This record gives sequence, C-alpha cells and structure tokens, in this order.
Amino acid sequence: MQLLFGKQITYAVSGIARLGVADHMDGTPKPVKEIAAKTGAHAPTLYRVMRMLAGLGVFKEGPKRHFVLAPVGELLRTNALGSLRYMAMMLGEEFSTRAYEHVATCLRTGGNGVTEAYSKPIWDVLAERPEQRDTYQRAMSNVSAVSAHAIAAAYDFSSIERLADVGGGQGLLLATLLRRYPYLHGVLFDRPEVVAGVPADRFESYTGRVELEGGSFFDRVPDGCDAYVLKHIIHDWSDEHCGKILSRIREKLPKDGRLLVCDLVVSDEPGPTPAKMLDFQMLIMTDGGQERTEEEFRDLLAASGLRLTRIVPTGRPISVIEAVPA
Amino acid sequence: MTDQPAQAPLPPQQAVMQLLFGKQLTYCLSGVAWLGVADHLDATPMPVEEIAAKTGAHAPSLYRVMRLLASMGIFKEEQGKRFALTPAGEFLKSDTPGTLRYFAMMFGDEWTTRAYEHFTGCLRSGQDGISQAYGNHVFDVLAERPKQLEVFQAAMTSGSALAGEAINQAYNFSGIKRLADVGGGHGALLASILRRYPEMQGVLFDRAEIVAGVPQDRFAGCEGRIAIEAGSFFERVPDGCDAYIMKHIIHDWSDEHCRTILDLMREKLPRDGRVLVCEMVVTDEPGPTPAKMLDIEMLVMTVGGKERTPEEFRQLFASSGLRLTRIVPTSRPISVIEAVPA
Repeated sequence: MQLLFGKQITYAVSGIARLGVADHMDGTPKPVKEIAAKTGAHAPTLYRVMRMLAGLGVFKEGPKRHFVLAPVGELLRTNALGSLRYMAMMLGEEFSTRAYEHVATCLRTGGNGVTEAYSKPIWDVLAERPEQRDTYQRAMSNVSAVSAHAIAAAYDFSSIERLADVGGGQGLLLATLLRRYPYLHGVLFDRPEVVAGVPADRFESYTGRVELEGGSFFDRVPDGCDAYVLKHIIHDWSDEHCGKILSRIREKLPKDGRLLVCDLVVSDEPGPTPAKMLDFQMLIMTDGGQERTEEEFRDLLAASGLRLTRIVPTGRPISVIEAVPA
Repeated sequence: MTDQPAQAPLPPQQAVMQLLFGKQLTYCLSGVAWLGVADHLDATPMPVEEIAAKTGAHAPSLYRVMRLLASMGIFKEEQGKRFALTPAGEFLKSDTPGTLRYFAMMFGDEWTTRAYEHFTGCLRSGQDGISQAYGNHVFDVLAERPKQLEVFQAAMTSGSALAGEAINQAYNFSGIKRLADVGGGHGALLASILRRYPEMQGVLFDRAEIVAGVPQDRFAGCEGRIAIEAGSFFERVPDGCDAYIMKHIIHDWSDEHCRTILDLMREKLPRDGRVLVCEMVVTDEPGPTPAKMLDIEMLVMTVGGKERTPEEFRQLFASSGLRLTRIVPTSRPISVIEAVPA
C-alpha cells in the first residue's frame, strides 16, 4: 500500500514546489495561514498536504499548524544548492502525467507512454508547450549543476586538450570543466535552437577557449577533439540510435582519444537505486531510452569499435564511463 | 508504513528524488496489476520471457519494470532474469484475500491520473481534482466509464473484506437489536456481523442501483433477519434501528454533507441507540500514516471528503446532537468511532 501511494507523494511534492512554498519559509516555524497567504494557497488544503509531507520528512510541524523546512524540504527552494524545485514541478506536469496513463500498454507493446498519449516523441510534445519545456529545461539544469561538479571533481580531465560536449545543452558542464582546467579548450555542440539559448555570460571568462557549434549528433560531431563527453544523452536513446552517435564519434577520434559517457549505471546492488528508478522514467517517456548495466555499456560501445576501459563513480548517482578506440 | 525499520536517513538530494519517484512505483505496480503478472507466479522463479508470453507483455520492458519492483520487495529476482513472487507480491494476485490488485489498477486509471494533474489547482482553491479535470462529481465520472467503474468497485470490495473482518473482531456489537448499514454497498460487512450475532436483525441501505447488485447468496443463513432498502442517505435512513453503521462513507463528504446524514440518524435514533462510524483516524503519530496518505487521495478525488482527527470527529458529531463516546482501534488501519445521542 505504501508503494501504491507513491503517486500521491509525487504530486503533493510537485504542487508544493509549483506554489513556491519553500521560498517563503526559513528557520522559524510559520503558521500555515501565513504561508497560504504568501503563496496564494487555500489554507485548510495546504495544511493537509503539508501535514502529510511532514510525515515524510519534508517539513516539521510544531507548534500545531506551524511548519518549518526540514533539510529535505530545503531542496525545494528555488535557489538552494542542488535545488530540485523544477524537477518536482516537472514530474507533475501534464506531459509527464499523461504518459504514465499508458503503462500497461507500454508493457504490452514495448512502446513508450509519450507516443501512446500524444502520437509524437517527447521533444516534439515539449516544443509545442513552451511553459512545460521551460520547466523541463530548468529541471535538467538543476540536476546538471550538481552532477557537473561531481563529474569535474571525480574524473581527471588534465591530459585532454580539446573536449567536445556533445548534446551539451546550455554548457554548464563544459563551463565547469573549463574553470577547473585552465589549459582545456572546449566545443559545445547541440541543436542550433539549443545553443542559441546559451546564456551570454556562460563562457565570458573563457574567451578564446570555447566554440559553440549547432548541429545534430546523428549527422556529425565536432572535428579536431581528443575527447568527447556525452552526459545524459546515451540514456535517451535505443541501442540503434546510440550506435549512430557513437560511430560518428569513433570516426573522428584519434588513436589516443577517449569518449566519456556520463550516465547512471544499473548495478546488482539491491534496493531501488536511482538507476533502476530512472530507467522506468526512460521506459515511459522516451522512445527506446534506458539506463544500462556495465555489460550493456560494454556491448554498446564495442558495437561501435570502442572499448570500455573503466567506470569512475562520482559520489553522485552519475558515473563517468570511459572508452577508447578498440 | 508506520513501522519501517530504523535506517540511516538518505542524503536530502536522494530523499527528495525518492519521494518524487513515488509516481513511478505506483504506475509500475499498476502496469503489472493490469497484466495480471502475479496470477502467473509463485515462489518458484519463472523466466521473464515466459511471464511475458503468459501475460501478453513485451519481455524487455516487463523485465525492466519487474527489476525495479524486485528492488522494492514485490518480486524476487534470480539469476537469468527469473522472478518469483514475494509475500508482498502475493497481494497483487486476484484471489488473495484483501488483494490490492484492483487498487493498483485503479491508481493507474485515467480518471485518477487526470485528477492529480490538477494538484496545484487543489492547493490554490481547495477544489478537488476530479471537478477541475471533468467538471463533474467522481461518481458521475465513473458512471460514464463502465470499465473504470468496475475496477473501482472491485478495489473497494477487496479492501472491504479484511476491514470488515477486523471491525467484527474488534468491536462488540452484542446488545444491538437492529443494525442498519447505511451506504452498505453489497452487504459484505453486514453479512459478516449478522453471522456472528445470530439474534441481530440487519438492514442494508444504499442507492437502488447498488442494492440491485447484491449477490444472491450474500445473506445466506440470515434469512428472516435481513431487509434490503434502497434510498439516498441524504434524504432518509431506515426506521426502527437502534444502531447505524457507516463504513467509509463519512470520509467521502464535507462536514456539511456529513451533518445532513448524521441529523437524519439522530432524529431516528432511540435514547440508547448508537452510531458507529468506521474510518481511519488522523493522529499525531509521526510518519506517513495510512490516514494522512488517504487524506490526500480524498482531497484530490472527492468534493470535501477528508480523513479526520479525533477532535474533528468529536465536533462533527456534536454539531448533529451526538456525543463521541470512544474510538475502538482494529487490527487494520480503520477504527470504529462510537457516538450516542448527546
């Protein structure tokens, strides 16, 4: 029954995140009426939801009908380090909700929920819904901020001269790496509409060390790089699609070059690991995307002439999977 | 969910993600429940290809879902992508007493899903999610969707069996001469009480279309002691009873609606009569108790329905001229809240 009530929890956290409740709280207990007034909420309803979430450690209640943020709840603040506010909002959005209605069908056919619900892939669905796309992008940036630091700290990039971040989005990871490695040159590569949205100040300290290129990684990847990084790209796609991306990279990679795939790795560790949970999200939301085991990464890379050399954990759920030309 | 083993708290980031991924677990359970996966399994591991063939599933997708549910203790994964059922997983079988299979199916059904899309709207306005999604009451929404209605009723019936048994064990009904089960559905609770108390008379009261569906043999052995009456509890309740019982009725409605029902009972109740409300009770117990969780479901799915604290029950009764005398817990997350004329 606890597992069945998971949905209620997701939507409760999502609703609280959307109202921005955590942004109006601090270290002192606030009456629920005051929080409701500040967030435009219906106080008796807000109370019931906060009471339930207090039971789950998001808030603490005391005195009666007064709430304070617990450390878990802190992460719902917009500006918290590693904030998950937009991630929480996203998981309650219509595009994500409608897809989940089709789980039984996905299980029967192997198709995905977004295509079942909208008859088109997730990227097209989001393109038509600017507000939901905005939430989605902020959610991804939230996660990126934390994982970029973890990757930069865990993996030694020092012998790389020119690194392309393929599908690098708004360049957060690349900027983090350029800051840490002052001799590194970088290429940010993503679809033209994505690189057009890179914040003007993202690379302002790295003039002369960074280039922005627009294009599709199914067609081509940047030239003249000794390393390519793919963060949360491979898990979006089927083996067949990944094969295309990896082959483009393999063609351009020098003998001593390397590919760094940053994704979660499904291990034999018991319990509901983040990788297993995210894998279900990929099953429902993407056309063939999945989280992979070490063996699956090895096979996938081998199929494109690459050899998995090691998997570097980061202290966060994400790992760096290193591969070289076979 | 209240007696989790003590464990090191997760780092906050992971704790939030685990809460947010609650939805995934609900829908995973819902998906395998729709396919009837558990009905094909027992303690002997079966290869996922075979399970997929038996349930009409796509084996690689089914594997990923079962792998996740295995990590949550629903299945046990063995070498070679084989799965067995755990004791928790037994509750997804159709014929396990108190099966949760239909609940799992219901929680993934479109009408429950759409309502949750409006959670933020609920928080802003206090209005329920069903009204926002469909502009209609939940019972009207279901009336238009026979398949979903069927799943809903199966879910309610399956939960009822265990709760009914627990109520019957925990509360002493002796001394009651004629008991009306108001909103008593298909009569499972009333039949179990009548069998236990052979002197007692019973009245099953619910809407006409509901009582029309009472199984023929439901009251076998209670002949001559049972009357079935059709009607709306907002208009009348049965005459000549010294006790009224309502299981999971009060939590469906706002205080105002509940008062209408309770007032009708109060008028008919003799001096020494009683009202027995069977509901969960929201307590100060920390942790995500079933009552607090179900309260959120009521918030989203019903117009004004909620789970109540002892104080809220006390006030509700008082406003209809009734006095809460005691709250009798049962072995399940449902209590018997007893009230008498004030």
